[in-house]
Amino acid sequence: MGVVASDEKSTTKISDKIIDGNFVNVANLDQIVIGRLMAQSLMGNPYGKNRARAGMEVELINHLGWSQRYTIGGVADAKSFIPNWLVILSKEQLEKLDPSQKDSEIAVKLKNPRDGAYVKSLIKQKNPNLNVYIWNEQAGYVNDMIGAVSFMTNLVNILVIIIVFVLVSIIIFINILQKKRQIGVLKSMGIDNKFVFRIYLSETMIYLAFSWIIGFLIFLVVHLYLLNYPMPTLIGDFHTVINWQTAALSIAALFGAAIAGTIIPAILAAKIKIVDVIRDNV
Amino acid sequence: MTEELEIPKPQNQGEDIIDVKKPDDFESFDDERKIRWYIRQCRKVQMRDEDIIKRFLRLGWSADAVLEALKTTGGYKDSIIIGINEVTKKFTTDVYDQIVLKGITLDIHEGEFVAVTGRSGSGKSTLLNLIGLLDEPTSGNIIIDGKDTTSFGESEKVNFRLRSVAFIFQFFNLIENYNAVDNIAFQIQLQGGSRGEAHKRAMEILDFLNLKDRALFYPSKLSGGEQQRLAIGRAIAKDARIILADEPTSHLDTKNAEMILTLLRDINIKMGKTIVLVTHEPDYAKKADRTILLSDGLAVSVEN
Repeated sequence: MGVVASDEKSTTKISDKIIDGNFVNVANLDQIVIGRLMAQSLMGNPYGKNRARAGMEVELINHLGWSQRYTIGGVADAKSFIPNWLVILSKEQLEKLDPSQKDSEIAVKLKNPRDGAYVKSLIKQKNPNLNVYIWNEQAGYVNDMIGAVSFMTNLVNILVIIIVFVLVSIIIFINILQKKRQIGVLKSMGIDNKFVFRIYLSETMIYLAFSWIIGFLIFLVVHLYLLNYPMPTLIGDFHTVINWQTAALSIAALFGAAIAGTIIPAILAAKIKIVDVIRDNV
Repeated sequence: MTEELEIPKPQNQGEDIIDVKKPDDFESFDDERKIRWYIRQCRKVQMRDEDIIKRFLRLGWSADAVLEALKTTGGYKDSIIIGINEVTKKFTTDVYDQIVLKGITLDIHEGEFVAVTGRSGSGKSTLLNLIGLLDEPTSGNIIIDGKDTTSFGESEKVNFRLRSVAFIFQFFNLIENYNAVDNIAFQIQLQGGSRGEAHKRAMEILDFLNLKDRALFYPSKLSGGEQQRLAIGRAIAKDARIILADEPTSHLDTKNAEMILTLLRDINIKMGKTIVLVTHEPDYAKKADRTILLSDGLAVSVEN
């Protein structure tokens, strides 16, 4: 109720994802459709190259020990963890295997997700025999998985920013140590501290520009490869996405880290005393 | 010289003369040195060159010899460009305090070529660093071109180093990743010159220094003498009135050292620059108009 598949964002119609055979149809009720990972696991390795094919026979056994033989009518690849482990069969066959599946399920989409608990209690009041669940009570682990991935991604981002800060600081500092005498000579020629500071800031900007361009090009190559050959993982096939907002944020964060890493060494360079460095033959 | 040259009172072309103390070793000077000394004294009292020539001609000198001497004698001006007043410099270390300069007072006139000499550790380079505002005196003040530099803020010091003083260092201190012409052009561009103008002027200076064929060479490919000439070129490019040379010949052989000193003398005469040369070689110091001898933190000025 309130759900129109064509209006939803990021939905997958499994019947459109058949890679072998056909989807379930009323003419062949003893045929099932299985997900790719399930098909591969039937051959011994869910991530192996071999999979069960359309036309093969399988036996389904439920938790009560009831079993039924079926023919694989088709194999689907939804590029995602849950659908690729599914077994899809007609409702009549499902009810044979699991009597509790005789009940219908109604999905209700709310305009405001925060109304979930309230709507649940309303439905229960009017229909005490109904089992009512909010979606994350049934599949809350999806949020947990997304949260875990986000946490790891953010952690990696923070580490990268710290690494950039430290690396830039070290590079600029070493550069200054090697150029100490030259800085002293330039100051004796009449350049001021701001000029020295600007030299190192410009150097950092150049490193930043080149490293971002090279990094983006490497990402682009990996991205195009993964789009064509996604990496299979436990939770589904993985590929990168280009999000320009994220890219802009990453430039800003790296820019900030690089500038921060440059400030202290550049200030030290600007404060070099001329008389201390120009006398020695380095 | 067979007769003493009489030096008239300032701006008085009459017969009254002033008694000028000659250097103690004046009698050991050769004729050329004597005549140059006399010329400097005449210029100090603002005697015109034509009047100087007349006086020497009366003594039997040839016009060519006098003209040659006039050409090779520094352009002394009456105004004091560097005034050092009771300057003391103390260096403080963890172990002890060392007083290098003890209340030095001396004046350097515009257009003079002054040598500062003394034993190692006598404070020659320290004095130069103070004049060039690379360091600060512990007490006393240094007046340059009428301004008390000891009260300068950082921006004024930077401006002074940019426009008023040029340095020539012992170890050349050229910019290694710039070629010869760019080393000079960079100085001009720092002072606001355009790239085109800077390169043109730099080539002119290299030509003056006989380094035009080395214009595209990097410092590492130049000999010691060539590098020091290039450093002098950079100093000329700045068009500063004061040139401070800190032992510019100490890492050169005799021939190149003589060449550098001759070049500095040429710059003093032809361009009217005030040159302060630090050297520990008494023979090189004699090339200057005057020698300031530093000993035990004190300064003694001796006419050459």
